Amino acid sequence: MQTRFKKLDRRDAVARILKQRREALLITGLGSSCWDAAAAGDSDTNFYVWGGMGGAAMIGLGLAIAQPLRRVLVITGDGEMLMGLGALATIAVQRPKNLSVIVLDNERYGETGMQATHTHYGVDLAGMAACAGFPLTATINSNKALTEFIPQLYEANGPVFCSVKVDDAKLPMVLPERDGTWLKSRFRKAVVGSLD
Amino acid sequence: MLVPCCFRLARVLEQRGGLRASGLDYKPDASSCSVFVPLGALYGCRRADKYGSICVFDTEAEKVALTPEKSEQTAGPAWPDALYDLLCAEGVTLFAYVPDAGHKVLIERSLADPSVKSIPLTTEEEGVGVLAGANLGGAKGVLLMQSSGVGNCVNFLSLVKSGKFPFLILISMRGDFGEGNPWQMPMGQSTQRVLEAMGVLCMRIENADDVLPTVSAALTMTFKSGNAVAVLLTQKLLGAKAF
Repeated sequence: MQTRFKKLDRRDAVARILKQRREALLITGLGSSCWDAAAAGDSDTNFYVWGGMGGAAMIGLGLAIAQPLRRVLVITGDGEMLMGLGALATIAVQRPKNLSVIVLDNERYGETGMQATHTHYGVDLAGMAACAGFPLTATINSNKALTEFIPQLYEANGPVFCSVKVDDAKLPMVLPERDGTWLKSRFRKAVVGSLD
Repeated sequence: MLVPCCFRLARVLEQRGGLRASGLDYKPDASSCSVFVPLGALYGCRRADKYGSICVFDTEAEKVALTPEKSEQTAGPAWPDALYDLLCAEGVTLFAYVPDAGHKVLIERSLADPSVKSIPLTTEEEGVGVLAGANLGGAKGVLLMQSSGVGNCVNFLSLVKSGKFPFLILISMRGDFGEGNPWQMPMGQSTQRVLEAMGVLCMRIENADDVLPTVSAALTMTFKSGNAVAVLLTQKLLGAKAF
């Protein structure tokens, strides 16, 4: 599918989003979105997901329900989101006001050889989220649109869904800590204040 | 007129002495859960519903058979309500579920309870993620599902194991004792092995008296010692389905 616009740089997009995070909590998808978040700077309140493809948005939902006063961001990829589309329906039913799901949509499976995903053939993730019942959805096609939308990710009554159309450049990996138990404990200590 | 009923109910009826006298084709040691009893044998059967599944296929027959003692027959066993109370007392505030008949009371009570979150899922694997996320935020949850859903969760259990997340599933079994639907057998017979292969501890319950002690132990093993635990509510406890 030909595009009529210059797609965004994913690292730059993620860095710009997270620059305004303040107290927000972050769940990443696996693969590129995980490396993008790590490249933007580590935080105790980042939980990097290294496996379980298709589950990032649901982890975000559980966290958003458990921490209703904190903003929760999920930053994942189009392939990961496509693997768990039912999550859009489940999240829409719960309507967590504090959850924003951001999909970095390069229309490719980036870690496996850049094969096209369904969004490449026209599947509209933001449209699906809207139809599921997300009160605010957007497909971001320009840096200007991203700048304008970022405040909504943190302030709008959610759940918010945002697909950011990014280019398919293969960027150097920036690997965060990969010990899941350590990441969980660090996150809980920062957010809950205890390990029990 | 003969109507099908579940094996356990047939046993009760037999113990009451009504079955053999009425001359039905019923073999107490038959492997099938479904036997046929005369419609008349079900009249006045106060405890029928305690066994979960009378399995009357014929709508008209069901109506006739259940009419005499309807209010008492719909009362059901006591353990599901006690189980819900136990979970709440232990601080469980998230009930994520894919519906199954064996979880009916837990689901309905969680939906009616403003102090907990009831989360219907489109597929069981979503529940693995949502409980992990809840744990990251300091909340306790439980996942309710049928054994068929275990297959849907397998890869997501990597998250539980890699993060050593406390994780509690209550699983109502299909495809075990007395199952009448052959398509339920493959997953039902593999459920425990699949869970154990992914590092989930399994505890089976066959008697109503064991429900609370077992789930109580499972809660401790999950939230105190950080394990992934599955409690399997077997068809001996819940009653088998013939379809």
